[in-house]
Formats: sequence, C-alpha cells, structure tokens
Amino acid sequence: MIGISKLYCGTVEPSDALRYGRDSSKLPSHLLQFAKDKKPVVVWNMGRRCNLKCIHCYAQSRDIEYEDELTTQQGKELIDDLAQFGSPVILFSGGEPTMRKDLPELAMYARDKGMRAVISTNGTLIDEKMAKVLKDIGLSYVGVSLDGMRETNDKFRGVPGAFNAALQGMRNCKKEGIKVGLRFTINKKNAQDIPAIFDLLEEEGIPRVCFYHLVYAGRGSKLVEEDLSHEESRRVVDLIMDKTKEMHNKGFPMEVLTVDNHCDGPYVYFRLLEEDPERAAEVYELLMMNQGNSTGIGIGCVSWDGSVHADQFWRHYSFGNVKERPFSEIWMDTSDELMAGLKDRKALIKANADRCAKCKWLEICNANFRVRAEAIYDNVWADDPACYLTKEEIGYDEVREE
Amino acid sequence: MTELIVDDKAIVFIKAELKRADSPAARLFVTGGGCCQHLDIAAVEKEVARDIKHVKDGVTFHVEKYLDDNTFSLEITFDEKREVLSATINYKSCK
Repeated sequence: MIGISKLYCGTVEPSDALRYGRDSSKLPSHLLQFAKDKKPVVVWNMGRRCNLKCIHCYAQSRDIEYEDELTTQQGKELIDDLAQFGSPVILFSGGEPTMRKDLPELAMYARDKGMRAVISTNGTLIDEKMAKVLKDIGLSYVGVSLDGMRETNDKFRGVPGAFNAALQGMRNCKKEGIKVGLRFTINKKNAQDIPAIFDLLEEEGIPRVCFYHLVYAGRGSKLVEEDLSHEESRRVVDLIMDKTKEMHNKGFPMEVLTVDNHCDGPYVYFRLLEEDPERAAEVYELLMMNQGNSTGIGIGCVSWDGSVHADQFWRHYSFGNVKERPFSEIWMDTSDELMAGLKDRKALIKANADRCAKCKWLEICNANFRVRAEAIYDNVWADDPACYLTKEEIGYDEVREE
Repeated sequence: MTELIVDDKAIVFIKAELKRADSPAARLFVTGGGCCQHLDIAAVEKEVARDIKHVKDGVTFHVEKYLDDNTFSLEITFDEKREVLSATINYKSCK
C-alpha cells in the first residue's frame, strides 16, 4: 500500500476526525505493536454470497446460498481469538458482507473486543436503513468498490444499475457521518475512467480512494491478460499523482493510495527526485520505514468456510481451518514451507529470482506479490511480473556489497 | 499536538522494547490507509522526515509530523490483560 497523497503531496488526511470530531471517548483505540509482536490485519470473507456477478471476482460469488460457512458462534470464536492474538483490524468482506444478516452483531462484537472493524462492500445494498445500522455498529470505515464510471462499472459488475446503487450507498454512509472511501481495481478496460473517478469523488465530497493493481492468482490464471503493460502502469501511476496534486492544489486534499504493487513507492521517489529533491530525500526515509509486501506477515485472510490463507489472493492454498485450530495458532505455525517463506523470504528470493534478487529496492518492497510470480512462472519465489521498474531503476547491473 | 500521555506501565514496556532493540527512540506514525489505516510504533535510531520530538519519562518519541499537527493529544496505555499497548488519538476537528 503506497500513500500517494502522503508521499507525493505530503498530506495525511486526519480521517477519524471527520467522523468523531473532538469527542475522543467515541474513538476506537489503536493497538500499538513493535515489529516483533506485530499481528496481521485480517480479512474475513464472511460469506460467499453476492448480489452482483463481477467478472473478476476472486471468490467467484453468486447470489445463492452456500453451505459450510462459519456460523455466528464460530465467527465470534474467531473474533475472540483475533482480539486476544492482537490483530489490530478486522475487515469484513465477502462475497457481499451486508448479505449476512449477522454482520451488525459480529462487527459490534469485534468492536467491543477492542478491534477496529471495517467493511469492504459493493455498496449497492446500503440503503438509508442499512447506513444507520452501520453507523450504530461504530464501524471505522466502509470501503465501496467501483471499477469505473457507470457503463464500465456495470459491465464489470454484471448488473445494470450497480453504479447508481453503489453511489447511493456511499451517499447514505456519508449522510450518517461514516468514513467512506472508494476502491478501484485498475485494468486494461477501465484505466481510461480514472480522471472521471477523481471528478466524481470531488463532486460527491468523498476524500478517499484506493487504486488496486491487478493481482492474478493461481497457475494458468487468465486474469493476467487484463493487466496493464508496464508502460501503461507507469502512465497510470503518473496520472494518479497528477490528479492527486491537482485536487490538493484545488483545496480538496484527498487520501489517495495505490495497493498491491510496491514498486509504486520507488516510482514516486524517482518523480520527486526530478521535481523536489529535498522532498524526495524525505520520501526515501519514509519508504525505508515501510516494510513492503506483508502477505503472510501483516495481512491474513480467513475464507467463508474457515480456511486460513496468506492473503485474499492465496485462496488456492490453505494453511488450515479455524474450525479445527485457532487462527493465532495456524498463523504462527511455520512448519508450513509457504508460511515460513513468506515470513522470511529474502533468501528464497535471492536463490530463485532474477530482477528481484538484484533489485536495490528489495528492502522497501519485500519482493512484492509472490502470488503473481507463482501465477506466471510457477515459482513462488521468482520475479513479480508486475514490477514495471526498468533494470536501470532497480540497479540491476550495479555491484553491491552483501 | 499539545500532549503526549503515556501511562507508567506503558513507559516500562516501551523502555524494555527499546533496550531489546538497542534503539534510542520510538516512532509513532500512521500506517496503511483506507480500511487498513492504523497507528504504528517502531524502535528507531533517529527521527524520520519532519517528525516532532517528544520526551516522556526519559523516553524519546518521534511523532510523525502530520499526526502531531492534527491531534490535540495521544494517549498510550498498557493493556495488562493482553500485554499490549493501546493508543487513543484525540484529533483536532477537521475543517
């Protein structure tokens, strides 16, 4: 996750204040953990069912009843374990999480246990009543997915009217004072809509957007065909920086993030080197503080059936099931080679990869997304094919002391 | 930020962590973003890019500038039950 607004424009949106004002008694507290104790943000895909038919859905969800999902009681036991373990945030996702009737009960339960509870939703089912429910739960954040403007989004979502419904859902959240942001997964068919998305956010007064790079998972994945070329990725990240700056200069500072491609960090740094070398030096320090990709370390995933994955894209590989062992135990069990490798991956990268092994940004990106390497090269520890930095930019031919 | 409040047990915990990491200071900053945004702490050698320095009971804290600018106070407590640090941010209201 790269904070474009933070790095490029030097702004951090004091987002909680929008919702809570000065009443600190209502603020959910934050767990503070030093590196050695750090526990993961956990994405719980709490239900597979969804009212939309997105063509790129990693859960391949449909609007049907699925069997074998965790029950409310099992969900509470999961939350008990995560809270005791020290997970700072639980992200309720799906399918469409608002289709589970016990979402309010479970989200409130998580909050009462001291966790920050957030949801990732398609937004289409958030009517005024649901927005009030979400407000009463005390959710810290509602992220709504839109993958383009009206025509593009509805084609992706497979349901006419999905754009309008999602937008109304965001308006309803905003009306209730809930912190809301937009999630946009970039691909070949929607990149042209990015400027219009910025305009939409300005019009709607939504100061937060996360742009997700495409993550293709599983051997032989066809999703890679939808990804941008390296040159296109560079142009898109430049465009996002340009629009972020434009909004900042217009007096509408937005929180803009890019997600799922850590080479965006050095790319922002290179641009600042040309535009503002002093700021570039600061950004370099900030990037060094960032620990790069945290799959299997700082982020984890639990499927609707209780399977534990390294993140939401590793659904084809399970470390165990919370119905049989607590998440905390599964997560710390490094007898699994993949779990051990993800937690301490640099030696494996050096032994298996080419560009990543020689890259001078390895400390900053932590070798990016391993699931993409597996999808393309059938080797978890090979290069991330989505890294768009040139050989010169990664210092491929530089001689370095080990 | 006008006030950094750290309770006694949190100070003891942080001092022990800094000693273990052989680091002279702790850094407080906002990490992640969007849905994953949360407060973070790290043992550091020195401040990073425009951090604001606070000293509390002999412990040096470097607070990220934007966090410092946008808060009235930040209160760190030690949760004895879970043996973890917990922080509450009292933000300035946003215009």
